[in-house]
Amino acid sequence: MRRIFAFIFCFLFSLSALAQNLDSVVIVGGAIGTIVSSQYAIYQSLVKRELKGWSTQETGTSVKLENQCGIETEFHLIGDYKRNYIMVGISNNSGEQVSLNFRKVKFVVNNSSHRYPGYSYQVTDELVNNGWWVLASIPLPNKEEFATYNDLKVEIPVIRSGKKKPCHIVTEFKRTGHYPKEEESYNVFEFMLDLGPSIAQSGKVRDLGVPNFIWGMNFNWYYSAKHGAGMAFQWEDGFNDSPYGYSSYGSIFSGDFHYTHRTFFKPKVSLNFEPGIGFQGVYSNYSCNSCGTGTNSTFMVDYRLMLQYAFADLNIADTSVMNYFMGAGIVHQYGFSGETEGSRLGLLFRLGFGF
Amino acid sequence: MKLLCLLFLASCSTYFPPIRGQYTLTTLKHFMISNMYVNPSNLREQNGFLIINYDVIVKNVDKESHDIDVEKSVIEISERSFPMECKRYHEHDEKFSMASGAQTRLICLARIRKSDFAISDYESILEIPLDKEIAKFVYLLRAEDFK
Repeated sequence: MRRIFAFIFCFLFSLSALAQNLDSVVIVGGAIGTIVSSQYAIYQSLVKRELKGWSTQETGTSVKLENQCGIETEFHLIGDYKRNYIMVGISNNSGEQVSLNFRKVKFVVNNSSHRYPGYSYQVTDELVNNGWWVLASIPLPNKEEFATYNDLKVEIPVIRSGKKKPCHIVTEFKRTGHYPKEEESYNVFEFMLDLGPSIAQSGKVRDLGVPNFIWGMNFNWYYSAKHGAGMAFQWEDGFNDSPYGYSSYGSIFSGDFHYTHRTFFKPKVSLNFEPGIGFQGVYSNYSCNSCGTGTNSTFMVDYRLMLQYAFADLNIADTSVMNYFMGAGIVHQYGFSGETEGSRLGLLFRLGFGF
Repeated sequence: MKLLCLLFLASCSTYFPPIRGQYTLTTLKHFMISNMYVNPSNLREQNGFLIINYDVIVKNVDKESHDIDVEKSVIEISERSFPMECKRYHEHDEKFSMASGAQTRLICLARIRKSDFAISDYESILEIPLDKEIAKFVYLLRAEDFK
């Protein structure tokens, strides 16, 4: 059992590490003429898709090439399921060392208000030698706000060797359309621990006695903001007053594969409906006196209805992509045959994390 | 258990394609050019041919407009030149005029017969004519591609 828990922990930790890795702010830089993972970096960056809502007819992209302050720059607006970024490619052939002042990047929104990127403390200025290039992803304000932008001007201060005043690289993007899928932010993977009391039983399952506690694990994968699929395992522990003599160590176990429908009321609040099909059975550490002849593993259908609250904005503009949430709701299971035939209802409290 | 974790982490990093060139953002005399869109995994094989897609963004940084003819684009492998078909992204034409400050995207397609080459790594060079200048990009073909 200890090994299984260790494996599950390592698995989840690996997934979160992978997710964090894909989301670093400044990606990579290198010297022209050396073997560095340049195309690897570009490929990685474009895993975040170009925002169609800002692409032009001529290129099918949002790309902007500029030659300012003596250095060449390339800008793209890109995004993933969580948030949007400005990807900047900078090539310094000015003959001097320059410093890119990433901490003082400024966005001018709709020609009126100003915004600054929500960096983490890890982001620093970047020194770029002559002949070197840098790729960086600068996080933009959250998607909900970004959807209201029609014009975005970006200013990056550049300080050249021996100069006190910065020169500003400026480029401007204009929106060409709205794509709802680019304007919503959501978790793709969610892992949850469900705990709660059993509150009602009916049918033959009632003969087993009254289980008093539910605990379970649940995993969801979302292929869009609203729709997903997952699997869950659940135990209902401790039979009391069983006519068949089940001890308090007995439990009903169940597992399901389910569809998940998620409705967001607010960016942090969602209602999850998880109908599924699976199996269930009876497990007891003590031998029972007369367990009957029913099968120990039977077909069942179930659903969970959960209200979830995320502790942080799903699209908070820093380098962290993982967030935590809690929830509450009900689980309802119905077994079709055997000792667990009948329905069971329980309350669930949920703790989970997603990315 | 630690080994299992390490294996899992390692497996996450094994599906990335090999490097075939490097990021190039540069200015010629009248044009700025970038190969940001080259995807190293999109080299594919079809009926004994290697199909190479190369995608570049071009901007006219001169004060005047320029006539472009990319019909004579080539890929040079081991000192032999092979024609490459380049077209504008939206208009699908090979000859066009670029106004001052205009940006466009060129999508190039090269077909290389595998049997014409020994199994080896080759540093090929893609050449795209832009008015009186030529944009050049290095593209690494690997011995595995010719097997």
